[in-house]
Amino acid sequence: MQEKIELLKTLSLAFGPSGLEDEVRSIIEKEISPFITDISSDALGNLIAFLPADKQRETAPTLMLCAHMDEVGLMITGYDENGFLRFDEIGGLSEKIVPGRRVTIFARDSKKISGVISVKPTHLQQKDERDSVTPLSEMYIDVGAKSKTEAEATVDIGDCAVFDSDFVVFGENGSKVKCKALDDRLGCAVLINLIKRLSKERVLRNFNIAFCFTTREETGLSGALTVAKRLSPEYAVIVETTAVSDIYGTPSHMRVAELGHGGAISIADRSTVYDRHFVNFCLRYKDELPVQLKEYVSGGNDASHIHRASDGCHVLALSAPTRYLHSPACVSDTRDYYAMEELLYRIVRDFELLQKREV
Amino acid sequence: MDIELIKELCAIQGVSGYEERIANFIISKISPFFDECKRDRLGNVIAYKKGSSVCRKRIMFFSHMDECGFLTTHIEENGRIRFSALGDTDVYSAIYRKVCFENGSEGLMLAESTELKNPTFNSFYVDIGAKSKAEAEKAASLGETFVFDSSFTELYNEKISTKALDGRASCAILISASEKIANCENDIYFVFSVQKNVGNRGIKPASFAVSPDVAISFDASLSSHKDNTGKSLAVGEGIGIKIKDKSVICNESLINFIRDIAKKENLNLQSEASSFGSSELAAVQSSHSGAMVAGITLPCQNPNSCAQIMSLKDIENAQILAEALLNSDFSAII
Repeated sequence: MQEKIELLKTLSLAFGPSGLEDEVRSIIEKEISPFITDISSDALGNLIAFLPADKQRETAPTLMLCAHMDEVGLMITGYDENGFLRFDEIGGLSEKIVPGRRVTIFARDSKKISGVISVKPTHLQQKDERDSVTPLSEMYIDVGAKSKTEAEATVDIGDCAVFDSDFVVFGENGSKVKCKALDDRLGCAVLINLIKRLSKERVLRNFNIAFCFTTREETGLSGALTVAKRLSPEYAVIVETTAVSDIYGTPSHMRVAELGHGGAISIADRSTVYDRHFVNFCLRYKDELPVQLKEYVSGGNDASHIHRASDGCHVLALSAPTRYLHSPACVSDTRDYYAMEELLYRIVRDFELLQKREV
Repeated sequence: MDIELIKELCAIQGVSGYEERIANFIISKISPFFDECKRDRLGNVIAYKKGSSVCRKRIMFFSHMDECGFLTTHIEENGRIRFSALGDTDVYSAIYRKVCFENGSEGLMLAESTELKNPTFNSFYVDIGAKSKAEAEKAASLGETFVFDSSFTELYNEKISTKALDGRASCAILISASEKIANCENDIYFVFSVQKNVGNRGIKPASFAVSPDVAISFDASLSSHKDNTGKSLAVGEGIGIKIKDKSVICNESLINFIRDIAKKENLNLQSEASSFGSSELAAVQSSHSGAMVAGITLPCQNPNSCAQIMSLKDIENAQILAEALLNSDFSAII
């Protein structure tokens, strides 16, 4: 267990906004290379670990298991005369949670520059400023530079930043974790743990398993699109996090899912209607392990492209219910993290039964 | 056109993503006329008939078979059923309506308040009369879809009204036309697509698989009775031919080809060139190395409700056009 938490920590703290997933990719490659031989990456930086069928791999059906490596972040877009940096979002950020946050900019020569998203003190704000939300385009990052020249000397336009964050284990029996980027390093960690587990078994399979660690999910899913087109999988599971609101004040029908009740299986989200048979197939394990349905139609993920790439694919989304998504402090439950691996393990084990589409 | 066929098609439940019943019905009707008829992984029905010519082309006719509806997402302790819309059902058309679940259960769609400004379905629920969650779960499990109960109504001027007409009238046209498919020169593909109403999702993999040279869609087109600008099509005034919408510009030579055929058949066409709306044609046009696309549209009032109105005359005329197109020699334009 401790090893799995350490892995989640290493992955979540790694730097990897969309388009700059190299650090995450190297960690994953290092983790899985002792256990799987066919590892490749493509032009968009997707990492694909391929476990081929025992014979006729060319014609065997493929089960794609997919998690995205990238996280939301910021990109430096300019300087003002006083050395403050302008920025834009990478992926979706809520203006409400950004002011005052600490960020780390990854600058040239691998230098890490600390900054703070600058905010006018509350007591100097006019009433209408306090009552309204400042758009990102009017916010700045303070890196302590005195002038534009000084800022330019350390940070280039196009440099990217992520929130500063600690990885903290907390809550009842240490069941909760909080960190940036749990979306979707948690999914990456689940897949890595599964690769390690499957490598210990010697089972003959008549289908390929493609473990895909995708890029650029937060900025339009382009990584997953190219992978799915190339692999043309028959089945795909998107291993993700999903934004839940199981907190005080949210009406029960809008809570989405509950932390600690297992991985959440989506019936539908805003960009995909999931394969009904696949969803029901997973519910047959509900006596063996915690699994829940996502009880609200919201969000979207790599499934959007994967289910309609090439000639189509049966998709399932399995997500860790996560509070405060896209913030420096996402909160997930480790019991869900483990339960998701258990469910995926069973899907792989019983894949031939799933393909019969009878159960 | 057999009005009973339209009636039967519209009555079958098939919400976007959950088209199994309507697909099976369509397959049972058309499979005798095709060499091959199957469903792909997303559930699209793809029917294929080999053409007789040596230099035959791949011609695809398609229409969507899904309808707008609702998905059960949550059941409250007090037995209220919460849901999400699949497709763009007009929220104002929903309150106090009777709904029917796939499993035959029935209920009423109610709102937490009738005085909300800009209501969304978040404040709506379905009451099946259950007192508790356990009782409600017997009627509707999570993931169960439902639609408005809607009877079939015949109106003045050969107009008809019910739910799901937007796709099913076109399905009826293709089903009827498939009887005339025996001696076509070209390879003919009929595709009945899934998930149109949630963003034209189903047709993409189907057209990838078919890879047509020419693709012609049959679908509804918004006819707004509130619109006096003359920009939208009028129900009963002729079939629509799509020039463009927000998502696609159709192929000019194919449009002219269709216009010539319509002229020969003495059919009146209304040109549709709108700056709104999206269609499945965009995905088809850009799949593989590209296809020539055009759209035959049926003017439809209130397409986002269960009070859709179409003209039987328009549907019949579109069927005549479809049958003429089936047996056309496309070599002049390809």
